Amino acid sequence: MSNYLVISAILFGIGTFTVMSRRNAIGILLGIELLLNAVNINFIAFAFQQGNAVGMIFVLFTIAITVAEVALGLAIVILIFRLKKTVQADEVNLLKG
Amino acid sequence: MNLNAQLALWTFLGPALAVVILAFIYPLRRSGKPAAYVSILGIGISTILSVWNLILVKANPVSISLKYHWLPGSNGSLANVGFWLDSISAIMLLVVSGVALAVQVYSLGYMSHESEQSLGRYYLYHSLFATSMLGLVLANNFLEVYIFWELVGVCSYLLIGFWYYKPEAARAAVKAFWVTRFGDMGLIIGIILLWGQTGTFDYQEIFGMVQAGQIPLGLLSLASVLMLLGAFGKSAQFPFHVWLPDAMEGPTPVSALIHAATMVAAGVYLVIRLFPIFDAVPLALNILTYVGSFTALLAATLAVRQIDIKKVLAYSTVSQLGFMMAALGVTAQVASYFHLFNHAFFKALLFLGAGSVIHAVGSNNFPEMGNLSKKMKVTSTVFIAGGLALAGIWPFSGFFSKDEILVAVGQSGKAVPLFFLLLTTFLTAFYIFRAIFLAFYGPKKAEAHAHESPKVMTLPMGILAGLSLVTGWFAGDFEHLVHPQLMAEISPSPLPWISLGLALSGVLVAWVLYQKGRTAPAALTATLAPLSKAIDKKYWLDDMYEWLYDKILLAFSGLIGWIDRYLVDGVVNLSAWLTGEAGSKLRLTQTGKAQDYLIGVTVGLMVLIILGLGLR
Amino acid sequence: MAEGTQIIFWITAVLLLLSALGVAFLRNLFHSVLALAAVLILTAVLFLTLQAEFVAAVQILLYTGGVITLVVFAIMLTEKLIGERLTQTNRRIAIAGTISLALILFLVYAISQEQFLTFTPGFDFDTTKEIASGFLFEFVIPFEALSLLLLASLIGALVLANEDESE
Repeated sequence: MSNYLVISAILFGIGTFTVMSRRNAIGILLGIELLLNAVNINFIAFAFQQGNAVGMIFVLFTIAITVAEVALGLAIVILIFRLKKTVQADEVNLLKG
Repeated sequence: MNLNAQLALWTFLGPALAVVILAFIYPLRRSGKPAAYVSILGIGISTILSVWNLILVKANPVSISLKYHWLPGSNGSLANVGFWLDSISAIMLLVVSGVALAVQVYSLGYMSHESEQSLGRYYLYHSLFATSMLGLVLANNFLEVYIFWELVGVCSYLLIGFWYYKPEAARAAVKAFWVTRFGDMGLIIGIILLWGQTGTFDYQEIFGMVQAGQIPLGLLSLASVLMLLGAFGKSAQFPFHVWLPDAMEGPTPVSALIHAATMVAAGVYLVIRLFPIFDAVPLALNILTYVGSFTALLAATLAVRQIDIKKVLAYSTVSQLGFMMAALGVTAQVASYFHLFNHAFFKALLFLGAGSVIHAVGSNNFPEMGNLSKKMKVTSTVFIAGGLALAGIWPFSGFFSKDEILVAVGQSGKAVPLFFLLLTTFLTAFYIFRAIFLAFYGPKKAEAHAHESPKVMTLPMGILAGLSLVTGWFAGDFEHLVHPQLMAEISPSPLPWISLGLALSGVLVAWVLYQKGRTAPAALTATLAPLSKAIDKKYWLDDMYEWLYDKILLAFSGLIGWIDRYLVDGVVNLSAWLTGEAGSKLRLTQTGKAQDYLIGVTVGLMVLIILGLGLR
Repeated sequence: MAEGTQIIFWITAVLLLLSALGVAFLRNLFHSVLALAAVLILTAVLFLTLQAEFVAAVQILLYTGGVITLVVFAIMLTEKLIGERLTQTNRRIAIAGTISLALILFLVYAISQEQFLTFTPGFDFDTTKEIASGFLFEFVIPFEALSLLLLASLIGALVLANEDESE
């Protein structure tokens, strides 16, 4: 069982790395996908171990929410692209202090 | 409350109510004469009640001390409010209210040229002063007396600077306040020292403790000497005497009331009231004697060369107060108090007379006066009466009280003070008769314009003159009245004759110099040139004070100012600058890029978890 | 677990991680997306090994089908020229790598420390039915809320994407 958890952990780490290092905004969204997937694997592993369906229910929730979030996130990226003619995350720094 | 206490209370409340009315009802105050009448009514009530009270007290001596809780403290009250009515305070009540009444009535005539608003303000201040002084007299604990003490000082400031648009008056008022402040600091520190030791402000409790020996002598000495500083400040003794001559910038009735009869007597009154304390400290008594007698002589020497009639009288007041202080120093409180009593009346009279002259001639200075006795018969008569009293010539009152003092000092065996006082007696007679001869006799200068003063001014003067003649004969009654608390013994002594002789010779010298040979004074001045120069410069005391102020006080405040600007403000500015710098460096972390923030979050999260684990 | 399952697990796991690395490191964005698709499918396989059939199905349908389609469209809309698909090296790689590595190690350490309670693994019931009854009984409120969320995101996406066509 713990193997699954380790896989999940590694996937999570790669996801974090992707989010932090990708320049393209869509690339960052891909990284977020990885994160959410890692979490899903975790949930199912525990559901399996406990003989409980609750974990699966939560995974379904997560998937649904993720889909909604990706849709909106991409919509925003498209908007920013129209506005600033770029999808480089580095160039969207309007919050610079 | 028994009758005596009620009388005392209403004596105080008379002018107090006048103050409230005049302070808050603006139209009344601004209307001039009606305001004056309100004030005179207030003080008139006080006078009548205090006479009544004194008669009662004489028949039936009392000592009532009423206390009302005021400030709550951890153990009972921290401070009370109340009054102490006994023979001592009853006498002073009469003096204060009587002289104040005379002065206020007189002012109706003297200040008649003032505008109505000014007059209203004048009488408001007068009532305020009367209230404060009466409160001071009646106070039965240190806190209360200090409050009234300060109030009296404020009234003095307000009244000296009454014509505030005159720069000299404004300066004189500030000087008076400043110098007496110095003394007042001593007073409050002394009060606090005593309170720290005994836990109470009440007079009678502290007297009890002193007499039971419960207060260490060192502390008691320190406290009493400090309180003496306060008394010297108010009573213009050396070295605090410098404010009184300058205070003559105020209206003459004010000088009569405050700077002759009452406020400056407050210092003497305080010592008399608190005598059980001073009696226990030999050092304080010695200071009283030596400073008093020295001041008496110093002031008398300064008086002989003045050309302003009011300044002569001012220095004379300082000198006579010195007599009173010296008497206190040899534990002759009865003599001192008796002299205070008499002095109040004849000095006020002299000032009012001077005011009458000034009002007629339009100037304070002798060179512009002369031969006024022809046109101003009443004024000259009463002024001479006052002068005789001051010089201590029998049968006027001054003779009796001054001699009691001289005898007491002689009996104490202190030769130097006695010598000073005898010399002062000679000079006193000399300078006052110099003034009389210069103003009322001799070649005419201004008498064409001179006229006698209106009745409203001459009547009070007449009454005071009568008193100056008469009060001296009540020495026995006075002593008997005050006797239960104080002890004094007069034994036969040649001193009264000596002093009478000195006084008469003073008059004679004055007559010779100023009446007979008018050139002689100039020759005398030339022979005593260094001394006259010193006197003219007021022994350089004023200059010394100014130098002290300039170099030391201003330098000190400059230093404090520098510290404030550079050190105190510097710290604040430094922290502001640091914050600014830190901010501008830290803002570099805000790149605006979401990924950087994510890195920060993740790192922070891990650190927190590690810390959390570590703590577990 | 049965032997077969074990082998499948290991193969799937390795491929999964390689694909994930592909998502992270592939320069061409389109290739990244394909790698992501592989990740998603392999995850579904993992779910199958854990006897979560329904979830695996949903994963493939929604995630792989829906999300990848969305992302591909987005890429198409945001590429200026067909040729420009290159992304430069990001200067944050060092820090990011370190942190990610630290994170992984930390999590693995945490996992290794845990003693997991031993239950009888596996299901002896129909999981799909359980999921259904869970949605409609225990978790009915989150379920309804979820539908609200989807509605909101639908409208939101429409509004956001429509900006340009306003007057």
